[in-house]
Amino acid sequence: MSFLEKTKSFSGYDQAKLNSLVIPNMKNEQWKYTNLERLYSTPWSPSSSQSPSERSKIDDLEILKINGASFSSEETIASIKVRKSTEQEIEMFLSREHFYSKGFLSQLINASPTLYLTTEQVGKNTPVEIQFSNSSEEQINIVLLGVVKDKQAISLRFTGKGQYHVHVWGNLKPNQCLEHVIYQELDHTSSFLFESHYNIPRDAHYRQILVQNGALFSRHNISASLTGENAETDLHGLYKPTEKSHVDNSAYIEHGASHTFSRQVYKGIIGDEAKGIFAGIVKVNKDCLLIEAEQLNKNLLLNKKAQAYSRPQMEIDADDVKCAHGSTIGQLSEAELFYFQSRGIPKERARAMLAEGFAMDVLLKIDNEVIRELTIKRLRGLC
Amino acid sequence: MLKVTNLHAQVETNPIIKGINFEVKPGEVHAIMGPNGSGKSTFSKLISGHPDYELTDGSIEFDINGKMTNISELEASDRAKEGIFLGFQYPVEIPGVTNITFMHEAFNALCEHQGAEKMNESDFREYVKSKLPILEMNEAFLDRAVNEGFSGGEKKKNEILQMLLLNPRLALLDETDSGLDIDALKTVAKGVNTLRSKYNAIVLVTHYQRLLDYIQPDFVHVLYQGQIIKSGDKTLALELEEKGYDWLTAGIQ
Repeated sequence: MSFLEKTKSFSGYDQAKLNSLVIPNMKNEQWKYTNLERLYSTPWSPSSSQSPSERSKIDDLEILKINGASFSSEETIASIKVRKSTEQEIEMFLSREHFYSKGFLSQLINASPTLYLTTEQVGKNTPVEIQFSNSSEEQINIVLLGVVKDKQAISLRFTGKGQYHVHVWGNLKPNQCLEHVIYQELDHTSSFLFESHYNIPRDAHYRQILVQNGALFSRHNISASLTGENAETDLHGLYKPTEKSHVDNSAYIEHGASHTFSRQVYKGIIGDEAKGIFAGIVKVNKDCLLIEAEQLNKNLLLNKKAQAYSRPQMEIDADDVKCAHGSTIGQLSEAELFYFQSRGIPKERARAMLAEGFAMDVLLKIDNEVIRELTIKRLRGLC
Repeated sequence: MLKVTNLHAQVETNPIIKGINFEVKPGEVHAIMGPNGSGKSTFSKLISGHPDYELTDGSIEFDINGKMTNISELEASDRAKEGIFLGFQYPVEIPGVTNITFMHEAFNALCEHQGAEKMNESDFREYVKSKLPILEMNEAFLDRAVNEGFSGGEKKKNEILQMLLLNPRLALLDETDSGLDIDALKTVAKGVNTLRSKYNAIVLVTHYQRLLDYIQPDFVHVLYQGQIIKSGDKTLALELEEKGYDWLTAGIQ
């Protein structure tokens, strides 16, 4: 049975609904700065790469490297089990309304192969990294369904090139604590569409740190629903577009229960003729009390032709809340540059150090120490 | 080692320095005093190469490898590598860059320039730790972001610490005494005196005679309206303390 036939046989799959969906265009408020149609109009070929996966280890970090998109068998590494999703999981995925809608779904269904991964922690608290490394300009669709035990840190790293569509779907259970660190450093011909949705119930905590350090075109949609008391989320991002690349972050956080907490810091370092966008909405539902929400977007423009767009928004329908949001767009300070130069540090090096200092604040929010150190080294180009 | 001849400079179109002649030899300590707005800070920034000031006439010469060389076209970082240090009146805060990283980078830039081997991180930390007691600073300062959240006194101590690490031939200290209580002033002065030798020269820019009780200058100059209107020995500072500037500036437009 083909994947298409298989998906059509699911009860939650609604052909009529699928047909009624369209690719969002720039008239859509959420897509104001990003022309998705242009991306869809270029012909894509599905990935045919069949290279095997490799396993390795850096310090305490278990690494699974997936070359290309092929993934056919169930695998268990020391601390992680990777398997194909169950029909119920795929059904759950397809029943959801996606921003990429028809375009994405038809690509997902027709393009072969599509990679479905479910990670299950077997060992205790050992962090895991899944690396996607592709060497062709092919299309790769990935759906990651996160099933966690108590506390888990997962790093996802994207290198090489390709047209990536990544969906991460996380339904946390009460008391669970999940951290995702996503590091994207695709080459300048690549595109990266990353959508993630999390449901965060009572006493659960979801943390995501997304570093975008490559790709020509990149769009990140995240939605997080805080559905039980004492649920918490930290969503942070660092984007560093250069040349003519375009990176767009769209974040939606819904406080659907009292005593819930959210924190967001998105920082952009925008060079050359690149464009960086942040649009975030924090929604506090009626009758949800004692909410704390912080939303901050800061941008550093390194060039006269670099562009930043920032739209931090809050929709608050409750009374007893503590919410703050803000945004800045600026350039490196001349006073700071001169301070470095007066100590013998050349201007170019001073610029790099100041930009790194600006970025560091986001990277230090990574909770898992092994992944944090590795991510900082990667950003500095040390490994 | 430093020779400033007929120096004129402006910010945008405002002339600030209007013909300064000034010479410093190794081992000397000079104090530049003067009322607010006389051009003292501008003068020290000009010598260290601040890009906001435009030199319109005259020259700045500095001894490089035994030869007096015009440095007015050199970038600030190159002047620093030749041994000119500027202690800031208001040191800037650099979030996200730790003090030790910043100092290490500056130190290694200097090593590289002098053809010496760069120092690794752990050796450098030991080297910095050896200087901390002079300024009564503790090691925790090294791992904090540069000047971020430092008190006024801590910022000034941090400037002097950097000066001691880089061991400049010429230290220009711009109002290093401002905002210091008497204990901090003594500590900072002790740090400055540590640098003092027959090879190094120090130029203190200050409003008050107070600092000069602890760092004895060989020469005192009064800067007014962009010109040096009087020079003398340390007794001039005492005279200024007693009489103010009016007796010198009266009659100058």
